Amino acid sequence: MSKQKTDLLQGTLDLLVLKTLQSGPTHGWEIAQRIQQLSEDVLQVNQGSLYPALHRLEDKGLIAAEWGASDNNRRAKYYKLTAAGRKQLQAETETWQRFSWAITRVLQSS
Amino acid sequence: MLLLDKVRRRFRALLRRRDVERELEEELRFHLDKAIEQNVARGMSHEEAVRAALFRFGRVENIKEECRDARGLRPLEEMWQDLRYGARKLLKSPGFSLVAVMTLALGIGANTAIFSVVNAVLLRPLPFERPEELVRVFGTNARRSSFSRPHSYLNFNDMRAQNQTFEALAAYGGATSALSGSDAPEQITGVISSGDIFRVLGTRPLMGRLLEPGDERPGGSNVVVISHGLWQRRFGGDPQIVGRAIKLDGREREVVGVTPSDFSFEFVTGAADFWMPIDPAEGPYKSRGSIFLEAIGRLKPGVSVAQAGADMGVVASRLEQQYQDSNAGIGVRLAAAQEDLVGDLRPTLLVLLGAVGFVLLIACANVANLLLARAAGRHREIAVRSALGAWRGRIVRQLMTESLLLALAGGLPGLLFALWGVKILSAFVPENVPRFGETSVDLRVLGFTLAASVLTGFLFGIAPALQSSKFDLNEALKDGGRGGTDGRGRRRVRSLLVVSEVALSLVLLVGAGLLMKSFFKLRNTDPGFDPSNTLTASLSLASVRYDTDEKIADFYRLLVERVRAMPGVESVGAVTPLPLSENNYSFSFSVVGQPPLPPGQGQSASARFVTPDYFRAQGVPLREGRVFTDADKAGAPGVIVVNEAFARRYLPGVRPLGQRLRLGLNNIEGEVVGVVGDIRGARLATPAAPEYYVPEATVAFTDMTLVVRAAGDPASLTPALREAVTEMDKDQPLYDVRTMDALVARSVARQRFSMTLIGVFAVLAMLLAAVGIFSVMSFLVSQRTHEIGIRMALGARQRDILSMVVRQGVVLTLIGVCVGLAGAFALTRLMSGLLYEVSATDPVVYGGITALLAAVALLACYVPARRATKVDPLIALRYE
Repeated sequence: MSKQKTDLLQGTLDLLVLKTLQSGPTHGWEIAQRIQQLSEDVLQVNQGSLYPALHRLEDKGLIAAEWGASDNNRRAKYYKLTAAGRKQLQAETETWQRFSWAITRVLQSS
Repeated sequence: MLLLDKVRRRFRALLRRRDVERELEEELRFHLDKAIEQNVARGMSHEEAVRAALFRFGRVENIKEECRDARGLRPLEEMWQDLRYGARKLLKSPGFSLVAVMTLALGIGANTAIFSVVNAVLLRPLPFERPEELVRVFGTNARRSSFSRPHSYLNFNDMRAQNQTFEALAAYGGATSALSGSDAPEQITGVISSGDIFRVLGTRPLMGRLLEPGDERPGGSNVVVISHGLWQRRFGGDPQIVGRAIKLDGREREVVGVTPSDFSFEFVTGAADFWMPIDPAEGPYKSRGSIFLEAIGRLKPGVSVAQAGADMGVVASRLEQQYQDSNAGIGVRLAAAQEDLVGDLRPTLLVLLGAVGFVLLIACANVANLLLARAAGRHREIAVRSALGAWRGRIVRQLMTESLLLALAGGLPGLLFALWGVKILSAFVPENVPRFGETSVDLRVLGFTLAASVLTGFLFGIAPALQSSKFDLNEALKDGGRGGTDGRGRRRVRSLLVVSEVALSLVLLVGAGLLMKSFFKLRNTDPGFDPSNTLTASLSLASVRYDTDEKIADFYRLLVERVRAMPGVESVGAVTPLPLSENNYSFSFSVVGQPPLPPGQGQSASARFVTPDYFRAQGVPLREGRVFTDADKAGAPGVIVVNEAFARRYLPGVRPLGQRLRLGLNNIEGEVVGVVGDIRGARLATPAAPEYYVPEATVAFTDMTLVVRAAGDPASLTPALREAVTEMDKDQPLYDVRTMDALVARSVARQRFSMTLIGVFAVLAMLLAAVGIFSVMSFLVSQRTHEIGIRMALGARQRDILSMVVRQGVVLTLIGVCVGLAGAFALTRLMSGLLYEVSATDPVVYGGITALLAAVALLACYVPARRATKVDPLIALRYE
């Protein structure tokens, strides 16, 4: 592997999952794939964290699950954003942006 | 919405666990298959693809576990586990569980029973509409501070018309009436009231109508409302009762309605079986001086008792100005109806509740002791669990779950005990205690039982749970199979339990001792007359048939003669009011020759009206002069007998005989011809008051009580007595037939009630404490078997061992006694209102109880200590 992999920062996985679901309902595998692709393989989603995260978000009512047919007609569990999830995504996105802006500022100072 | 979803999801997860698990499995499987697919697409062989996917995926079971955690199911699942585990554990040691459950059931049951009484008497609102608006209005007399003065009808009428704060104000008085007709005549109790009483109470009729303001009119309306009870009992629930005529005191009245079955009116003594309107044209209602009505009103919405009090005060002072002669110094006092009805029961009930709470605390201490002893045996189990990764909180939680389970298991039989207890309580509850009859187990009582159980579980569970989960794992596991030694911390908890048990039961015993002593003092109080072998029975002549003084006087004279002639009768007299009854006739008087007192400052004293032989029948001793004779009748020179208290108070420094009194009643003037001994008035506990006696024949009272002194058993005279009355007048009932002994007992019934209950609780507490001390000492001895064996092997004598063990118990007992004495000192003060001629710090009671408890505790220590001396050193040393 040429590129260095980065472990996900604690708590950011939830944000990424919510963000991924913003473009429509999908299942766990797809979520992991998309995060990997969109981050150009920098972010590797570990299944061991992904599924507990999905169940936790569902328990909090931020996403909802539904069984549906996947591309090759297999039953798969699809997740979608709830209204509360959408709100949470917006709030967390802002927090994250402020946070990363701040970190960048600090690191750029000499 | 969100929360609801969450709850639904959790329930689904819990109840349909298999489905949820299968879905989780399928979801992860899908992911794995996708990964394999991708690997194959990248050119791996199938086997390689599978291996690589599985390798990346990690341990499936771990992921599943984390998913379950993420769903917030862990606590629920663990609780379920704990419950099942706890139940299994409890079932595995049935002996321990049974003892613990029964101890708790006893404590919780007793508490529930007492609480159900408190609930019925103090907490449940009165059975009227918006009862919080009901207020009683009493008269006050500036010269007699504690006196609740009844109202005259005229005063009441003015208050009703002039007040601004009452929605409605009604007057009423207890009444008794002879109901005659087809069955044997019967004296029934009821109420005579103003027409708006039911508007005040907000009661609706079961049938027909209730009294209405229009019924209260001069000339009287011949209507009567009867109670559901009377309707059922006397008229067999006749559906045609409304409109029927019934005969009360020889006068026909039309039944216009029936009150509902759940209606009761406890502001009068006896059952309110009939309701008749006041007839303002009748004599007693036409004078401001004749005071015998009570008043109750409903406040206008939003008006407070204080505001109404101020308003009524204005009315009262206006009346005072207007009617100087009758109203000087007369004011009003208002009291919320419920508080007024049950307020004086509050201290007794709260003391009882406190006492029974102590019993529960001691029961808790005992169970905690048992748990501690058991925890010693479970040392290894707990150590192993914690070695396997259970953190301390988890172990505490598991132990607490067990305790709660135990407590709830105790609550159930406790509830049965309570039902049974309530039955017993209501069987020996004193008469005339308002609202007691309504005691039942309702939702609030059930809630109390549940809360008490849970609280109990926490109380007895927390210390053992914290103690047994605290240890050094290494030490515990190294400790081999010996069940662990008793750590110092645990020993301290155990000592604390013994100390508190001793202290709590001491407080309770002292309380019971004080009540017992005051009860015996009360029972041994000389009432001033001889209550033995005396029968009393009341008559109330109907004024319709006995319409002249001669007829009344003749009736009683003839009746007394007839009864005197009966075999087995030593002497007989008639009196009103009977001693130890709540009735009290107070009239003003003046001493002839003394300077007249300013208006509104007249003196008054209680009067009794008696037939000549009354003093002999009642056993009231004559101190000086003579009692009445048959010659002292209407038309003869007036004569009066006074008691010693009267002579002391109103005729000081003069020889009472020969003094002349002028009475406010019928303007009677008479000469004091005799002085008799003082008697206890309304109750045995109230000191004798100044009283004077007037010959019945000169005033002709319709209501009298016969006092018959018998040669043998007085109760056996009852049938003959009834027969004598029936022979004279077949429509005349005889009622309230009781022996004087029974009346004395009734007068102290409340004290007996609280004494008995607290006594029972105190003995229970002492037994529980003794069992507690015994089990702790036994446990300590068994823990020290090894040590005792060594001591004996080294030459300790049995006596040394005995004193060593006993000393340990004695020290704990002594500390407990000291704490208990301090507690008793502080707490018995609260019950000084319940005591009679006994100080709350009575040294005899304190000393005696302390000695008793110390003896019991010593015995509880001695038995296990004795067993310790029987230890065979050889066996003890081998006991590894």
